[in-house]
Amino acid sequence: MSDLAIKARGVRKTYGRFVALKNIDLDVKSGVVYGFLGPNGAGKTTLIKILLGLSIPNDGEVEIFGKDLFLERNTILKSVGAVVEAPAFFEYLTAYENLYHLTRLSGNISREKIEDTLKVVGLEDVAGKNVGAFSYGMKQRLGIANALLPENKLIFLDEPTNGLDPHGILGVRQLIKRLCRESGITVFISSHMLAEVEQVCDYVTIIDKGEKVCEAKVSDLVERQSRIEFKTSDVGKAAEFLRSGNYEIIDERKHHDSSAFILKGHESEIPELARRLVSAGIGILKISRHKDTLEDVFVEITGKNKTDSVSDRF
Amino acid sequence: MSKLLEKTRQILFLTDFELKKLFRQKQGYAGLAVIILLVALCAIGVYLRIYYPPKHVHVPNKFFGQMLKDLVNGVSFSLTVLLPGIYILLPLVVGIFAAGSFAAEFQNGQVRTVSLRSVPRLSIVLAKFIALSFYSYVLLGVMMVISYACGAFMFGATGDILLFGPAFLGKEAGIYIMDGSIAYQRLFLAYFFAGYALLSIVAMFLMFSAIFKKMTMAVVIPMGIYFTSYILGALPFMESLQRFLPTRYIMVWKYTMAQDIMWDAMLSDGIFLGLYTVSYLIIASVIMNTSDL
Repeated sequence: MSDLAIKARGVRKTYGRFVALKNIDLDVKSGVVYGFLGPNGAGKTTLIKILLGLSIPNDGEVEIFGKDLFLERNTILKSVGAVVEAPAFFEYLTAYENLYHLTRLSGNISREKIEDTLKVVGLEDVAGKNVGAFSYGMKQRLGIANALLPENKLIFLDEPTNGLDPHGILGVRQLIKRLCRESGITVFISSHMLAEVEQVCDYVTIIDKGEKVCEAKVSDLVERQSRIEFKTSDVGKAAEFLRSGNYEIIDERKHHDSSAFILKGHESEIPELARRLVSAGIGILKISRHKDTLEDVFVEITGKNKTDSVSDRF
Repeated sequence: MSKLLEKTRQILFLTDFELKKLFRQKQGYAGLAVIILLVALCAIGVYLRIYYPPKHVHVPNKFFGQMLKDLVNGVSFSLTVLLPGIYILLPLVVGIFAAGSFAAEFQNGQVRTVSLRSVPRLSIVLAKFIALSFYSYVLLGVMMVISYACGAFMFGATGDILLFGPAFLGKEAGIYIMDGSIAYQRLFLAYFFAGYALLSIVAMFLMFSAIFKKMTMAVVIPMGIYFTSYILGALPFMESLQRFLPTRYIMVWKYTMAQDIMWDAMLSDGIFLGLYTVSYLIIASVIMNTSDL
């Protein structure tokens, strides 16, 4: 079996004149949680549908576990599961019946296996209830159970925490991590929630307007910037000091009676900077290495500004 | 060989799933409810005509009431119920269910959920067709049993039966009497071929479901086509158009009502009807295969 769970090359998809995806390449290693991040309408769901053979690209090649998706889709789908867009089940059947009839199409399935999976997603007590009585969060969890069965090695989750309450979100995130860690399942998550990707994913690809703008290990991405954060109440004095000392100010975050300056610089420069600030009589409220959040990276990469209106960003 | 077995197995599983869905939905029983309503209304209508004829009926028609009394029984009543059933009621019920099982599932995302499994899309269309065909025959079977039982209870179980020429035998006017010895055989044949005709309705609605993927459109458009064809087919000056109308061949079951069954005409109409059905299914499958889900 290939070391790559997903390999995509030059995937392009258009709807009339609208270009939804522009030559996307993707390499997803087996056994990782891979995030696919982008604003709404960036093309995340379109790519997931293409990777599952639900949508036909205009150009491009896709291999899942080393097999050509367009030639061997039915074989591939025996070990691949997904929740795409909203979880859609047959509401007049029970959770168990839905899973039984759907999973049977991919291969043999035992009652125990279905019950175990319902237990994994926390629905064992409502296995005999009609799905019509389920909340959205329960359907989302049932969707994950469906994606796991019969013994899938790769699962696609499209915005998996959409519509969940905080406990549900936490539960799904823990579940995803556990599935990857304990069962070696490759999980491909699309999300527009930066914190989610940062907390759950090992790798991330950022997509904007159908174009891949970044692909990296999440930890590398948030660590890659060398920055120092320095907070003081002597705002004017500090600004003058930093400018005359040729420090590169990346950002200034104003608070009620103080300011935090984000400076370009390595962690090792902090002791010398602290000494110089003290010598210049500037009070230090806080000085530390500044760790970027994925949101900072995303804003930087996609060229969008935090001051943009929300609808412009997501 | 193993691939063929695998595909057959999948179609069986899918068909089983479709049947389960059809019979587990409460609205699945709506079809049965309207059949019972139709039978009840027909029974009341015939009963009133026999025992409480309208006062303005002129003298020759008074004998008609007596004839009805003598020649209406379970079989002729069941055939009488089949007429409005196969013209309007069953195409309506079966069509809406076909659209509900395909277009509505497109709309709600369930088709995508099933397509995420290791099944060819063609199998999904085929399974729906098989399940809905079975459902059509179940509805017809229920209609036959209920109407026969009702007719037998109210008017007698057996005997010669009364056939109205224009309704059962096309253009031939008048009233015909069919020998009681062949009545049961003709009843079964009529219902069997009525079921065969319903398959083309199922296939037509599946095709429009695949095209529009929206419940409303998948019901309104084929229903419009069906009733338009039906109306045009009934107009005498539309003769040259009639042979191309999809409804032209739906009445294939009527050939079993003739004294000698018109096998040649039946075969010819049956082939055309079958070709319509297969064409609808091929179009539905091609569209399903090339659609983004």
